[in-house]
Amino acid sequence: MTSAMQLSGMLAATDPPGTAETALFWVLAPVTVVAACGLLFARKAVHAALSMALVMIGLGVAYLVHDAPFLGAVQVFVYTGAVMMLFLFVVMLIGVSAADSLVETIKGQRLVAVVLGLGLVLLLTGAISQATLDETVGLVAVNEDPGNVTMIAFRIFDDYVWAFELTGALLITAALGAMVLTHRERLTPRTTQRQLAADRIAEGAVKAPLPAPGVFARHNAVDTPALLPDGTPSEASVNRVLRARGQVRSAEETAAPTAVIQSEFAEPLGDGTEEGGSR
Amino acid sequence: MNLLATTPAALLAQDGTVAGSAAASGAIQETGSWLLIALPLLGAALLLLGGRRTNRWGHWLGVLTPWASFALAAALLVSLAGYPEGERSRTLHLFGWMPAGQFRLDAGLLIDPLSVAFAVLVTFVGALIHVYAVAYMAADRDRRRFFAYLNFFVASMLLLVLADSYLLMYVGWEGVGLASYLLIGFWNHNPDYAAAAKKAFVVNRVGDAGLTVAMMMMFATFGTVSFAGVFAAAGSAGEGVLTAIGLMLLLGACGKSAQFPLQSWLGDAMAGPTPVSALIHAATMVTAGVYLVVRSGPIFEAAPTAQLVVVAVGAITLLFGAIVGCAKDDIKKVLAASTMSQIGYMMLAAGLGPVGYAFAILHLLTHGFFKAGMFLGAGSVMHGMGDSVELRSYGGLNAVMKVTWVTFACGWLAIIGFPGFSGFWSKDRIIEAAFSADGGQGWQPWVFGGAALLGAGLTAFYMSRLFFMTFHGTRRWPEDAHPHEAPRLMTIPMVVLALGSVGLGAALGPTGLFTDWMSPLAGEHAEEHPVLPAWAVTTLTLLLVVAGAVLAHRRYAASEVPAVAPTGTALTRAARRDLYQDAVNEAALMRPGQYLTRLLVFVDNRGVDGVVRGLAALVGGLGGRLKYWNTGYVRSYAASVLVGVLAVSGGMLLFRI
Amino acid sequence: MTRVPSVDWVALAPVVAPLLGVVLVLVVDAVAPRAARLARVHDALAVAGLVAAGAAVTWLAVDGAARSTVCVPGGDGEAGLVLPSCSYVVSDLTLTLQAIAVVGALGCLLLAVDGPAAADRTPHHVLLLSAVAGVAALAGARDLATLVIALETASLPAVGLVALRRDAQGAQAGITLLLTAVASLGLLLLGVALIHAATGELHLDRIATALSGPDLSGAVLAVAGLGTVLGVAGIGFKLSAVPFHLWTPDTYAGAPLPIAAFLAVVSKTAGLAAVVVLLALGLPALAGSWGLVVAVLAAVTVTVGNLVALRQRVAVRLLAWSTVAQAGWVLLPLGAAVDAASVPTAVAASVGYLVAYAAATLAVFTVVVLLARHHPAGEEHTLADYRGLARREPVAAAVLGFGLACLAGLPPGVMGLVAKLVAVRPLVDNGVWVIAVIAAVNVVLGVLYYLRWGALLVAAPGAGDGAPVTWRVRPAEGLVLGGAAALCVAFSVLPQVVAGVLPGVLR
Repeated sequence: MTSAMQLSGMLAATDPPGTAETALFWVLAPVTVVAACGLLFARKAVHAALSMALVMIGLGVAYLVHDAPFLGAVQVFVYTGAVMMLFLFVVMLIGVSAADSLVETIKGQRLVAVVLGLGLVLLLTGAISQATLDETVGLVAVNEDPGNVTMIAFRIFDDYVWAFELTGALLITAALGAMVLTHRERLTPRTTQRQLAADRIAEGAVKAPLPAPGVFARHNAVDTPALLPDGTPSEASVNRVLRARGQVRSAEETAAPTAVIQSEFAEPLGDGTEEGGSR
Repeated sequence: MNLLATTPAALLAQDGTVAGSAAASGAIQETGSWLLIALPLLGAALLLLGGRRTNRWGHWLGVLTPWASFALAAALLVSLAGYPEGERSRTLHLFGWMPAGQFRLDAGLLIDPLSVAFAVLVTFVGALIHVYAVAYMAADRDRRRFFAYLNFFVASMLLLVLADSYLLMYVGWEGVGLASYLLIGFWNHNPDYAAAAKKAFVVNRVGDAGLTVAMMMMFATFGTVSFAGVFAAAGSAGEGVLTAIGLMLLLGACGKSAQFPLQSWLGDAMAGPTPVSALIHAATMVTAGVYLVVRSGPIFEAAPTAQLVVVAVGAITLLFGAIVGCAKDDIKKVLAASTMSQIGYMMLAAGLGPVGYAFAILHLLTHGFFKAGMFLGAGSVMHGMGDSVELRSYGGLNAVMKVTWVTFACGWLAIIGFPGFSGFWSKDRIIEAAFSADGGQGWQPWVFGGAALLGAGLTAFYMSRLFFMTFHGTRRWPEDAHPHEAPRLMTIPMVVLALGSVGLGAALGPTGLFTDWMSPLAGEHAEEHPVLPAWAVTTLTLLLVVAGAVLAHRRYAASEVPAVAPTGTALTRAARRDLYQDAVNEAALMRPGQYLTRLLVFVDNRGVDGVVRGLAALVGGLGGRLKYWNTGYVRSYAASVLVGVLAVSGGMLLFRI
Repeated sequence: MTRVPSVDWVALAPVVAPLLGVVLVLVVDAVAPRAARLARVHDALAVAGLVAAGAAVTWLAVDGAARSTVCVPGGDGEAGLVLPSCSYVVSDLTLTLQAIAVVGALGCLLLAVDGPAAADRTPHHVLLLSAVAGVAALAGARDLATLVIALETASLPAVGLVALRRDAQGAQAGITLLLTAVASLGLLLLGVALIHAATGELHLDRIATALSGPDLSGAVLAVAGLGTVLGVAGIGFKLSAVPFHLWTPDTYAGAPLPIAAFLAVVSKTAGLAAVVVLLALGLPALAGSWGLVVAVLAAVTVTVGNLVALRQRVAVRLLAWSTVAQAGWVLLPLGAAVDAASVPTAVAASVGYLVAYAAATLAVFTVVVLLARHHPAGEEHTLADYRGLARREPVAAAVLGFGLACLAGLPPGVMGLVAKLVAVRPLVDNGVWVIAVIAAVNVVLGVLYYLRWGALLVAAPGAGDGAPVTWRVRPAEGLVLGGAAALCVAFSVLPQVVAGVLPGVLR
């Protein structure tokens, strides 16, 4: 979108536009716009990066056509050559197949985004389309004295030298900021497996599997602690979720119904139990 | 140029040449007069910030600064006396304070006879009481903090009297209020004392609200709050506005000076340490109301109704205090009631207009000496009697506390107006002036003169009662009491103040020295036309005084005083309870106030909170959308930014088309 | 034809001094990496950089000479004589904004020095100093290119600073800030490009001249107006004006507290500097258009910020929303601009408000930092944790109370009161009544939550708070506490500093 407007502006700047130039514009502009859309909508990172490279090359060619050889060359060298290759390396490191998740979790976000985006486009087009350009000087006249490259040098190293130098500060800061965001300095040595094992022993945790809960005749009793050899209940044998909910029962509680059962069977088993007891 | 517009001096000084020459000859004492305030303030700051490190020597620093200020004030007095009468009023511009748009206010000091007289009183009595307090507070752990507050008080009081605008004065006004609050509640571990401090604070706020409203009205009417600006324009304003301003000023004065109907806090304020009672609640701060009325003279003179109210308030308070003083059995509370009553005299005089200004201030000065002296004496008695304040547990102390007895006697004779003593020269003239109220016509001279006369008799009675019950009669001491004379550091200030009680009035009054000194302020005033000749007034006063004193002697010195107060008549019982002022306040103000508060709370809960909750619900309902944006996803934030862009550009297009 | 650029380094000193500090810190780190002994050297270098910048600002202010540098020569243009235009100008406006930024940054640096910065001294100091250099450059920037680059230099380091809190929340906050910053940068660039397209100039004074011509086509104005809107939107993000504010609470809560203070004081200064430079210096001719837009933005910002702040319980979140509301206050006077003539007064009021806001915010944040350090809940502590602070830490509570009073505009915070009056006055003078009334209503809303916080300070301590920890205030923190309090008190005693700071504001 943006690049297309830039192009039309550029083409209008020559005076008068030749047939070859016009033809070239109508070839370059759609390709660049399609590539820009591809950058936005490609699902795979590699595709997006390649689309971006195409946009950059399209722009570079457009500059070349319009008597700005230096800008065109730099555009291709720097963006397509250096920056884009860097992007591709990063993409390859992450994994070529990594794709963005395109499931939108926020309700209506996509609709809102589309509506707002269209609104912005309408607004911009509405305002800019009213504008008419004055008689243009033409790049030939501009480049006459002292020449395209020299003029750029004057702009950067004289007129806007302050902004240019500030850019240096900005870039250093940005590099450092990026480092802070991604890099973390290791202040302590990495803990080894051996160290982890030693720590676990040192903290005195239970090493063996936890004891199973108590199992009684009428209960599949996950909620009842097992009794240790000395008769005390083992806390560790019950799931701590149950303990937190307060649903743990004690062996004594389950013992009460046992007494009822025993009383139910008192008649036929009476002697036997008593004997057993006395023995 | 900040002068009282009614005086010829002011009119002259508004002429550029005179002002210019005065400025050119400004002496070092005037340009340095800000030090007067700065020194005690510095002392207070050092003591408060220095913390425990200054415990060892802090009190001496605290004593030093008021003495230094006194030296400066005395120098200022001498330098001012050296000028011709018409030039005795000058301002010291300190800095541009608030140049905010139309409202321009410079901070400056007004050096004139009135403010300098006050400054000398404040620094001299203040310095003496600082010395006294070194010994009185010796056993207190927080003595350093006490001196810091006292220093702060002196600085605020000096700012109050030296300020050249109502607003700057208000700063000092609030400062002394704060100091008073801190010092009344100095022993705030006792809940009663803390409550007393709070009461003083709250009642004073009522008065302060009056002063604030007065300032707002001044600003609305005159566009300025500087003394010079207000007084210059006072003549041009309508009488209604001036009356309203005057009444609001009077409300402020009543709060600070414990005048009817805002008098209830002063008795309770005796909870503070005795030096505080002597300095703040007898000699200086409570007289600030009188200062305010006298300083605002041009306003009151143009508003006779307000003036009449001032006189009436003074008359009511002087009788009120005197009646309460007759019944109290607490030595400090009697003195507090007496202070209230004496300030009533001053207020009455101040309300009489230029006739009374000089006498009001003269009585203020002499009262500052004798009342402070008696408070210090009371402190000395309490010191000797193990901090007991009960008059009924004293008696016959003259033998064991010789210095206290003699100095207290000087104060006693001064306050009852014994001929020759200070009070005679000041109070007697006020009574005379009261008999010439309203130009000596109609009912006013008789009513106000009569009240003043009656007050003099009552004063003689209750002060003699206090004196005899304390120093004479049978010894009713508790068994564990071992009364003894106070240390030298305490007695010396008492002696100095007693000398003032004896001689100050005679030195200033009959010699005409003070009237001359104050004449730029009082200006020319009409000849007095008292309804009774002066000799008759004096004779009547003396007769009443003698009668009161003799009655007191018969009842409290010559006969046995019961150790437990008898039930007494209805009037006595009422007076013991401060004529039910707390009950009245409670019924008339506190209860309705509580109901109002409850109503407001109700309205607040149901109405305001409802609106707020409704708003909140609105935000919450809108928050459905807000929450929808605020998911923490940056892409939704970006959408919000786009909304903003579109809305803003749409708005701009709308505005442009 | 050779040209040698002439650069007045004295004029640029407030920008160059922090950058020199950056270089020195980096050099020390490169020479002796991970030398714990050199930690104090790092700190000293960073402080020295800021102090040097402050000294430079002071010197320039005292010197008073009009300076400008990096200029494009003028000459005979088609439409007559063209004056030389400069990229960097030293004026009262420049120096005031630089002073706020330097003092605020110094406070934040001292707060952070043994806190979040302790583990990452080099990156922290470098990022902070670069940001200050960015703000300083921004304040003096007088062309669009410098404006954009300086604004980015001021805002990008903040992302790194926020991420210094090495946990998931910090990273999240950093990413949020980064992405929003980039999006708003896009808008700003688009806006700047449109303005350039409409006028053909980069220097602000030439843009102003171009737009004030008598025979301008509606189309040019439309393009320039659209550029203005996009520019305001891009910068509005920095100021956290509604609806560009959504990053604010997340980022403040996710950042280390001293860094949040940095965002609140220094970044906000950058935002105002950018708005003022762009709108007041570059586009005064369009004041009739952007004035009302800014007014509405400011009113909405104040209202939304205050309403949401009313409901906050966590101290730092309340502060975040309060800074949103205060950003609205800072913008408010600019909304009163109805034509080119009314712009300077509006700017003076805005900058005056910023002075008061910065001092009070620094004071409040200092106490919040101190409490967070001594509280088990740390940076997540709630307002309830301030209950009874006046009894435990009277000095800190007094400073906090005073700072809140200043922010609310309640006496004794005279500074805030005067600042609010000064902010509303241009609105009243120019008859923008609706906005003035909204502002007045918002004063009340603001008082509500500031006062509620202040009242908690003196409330009786609640039961079950456990034994309070005695605070151990580090010297650096004590310095900031005292300094911020002193500034608040000084501006309250002499409120004319806030009321009429800039006599020759748009020199």
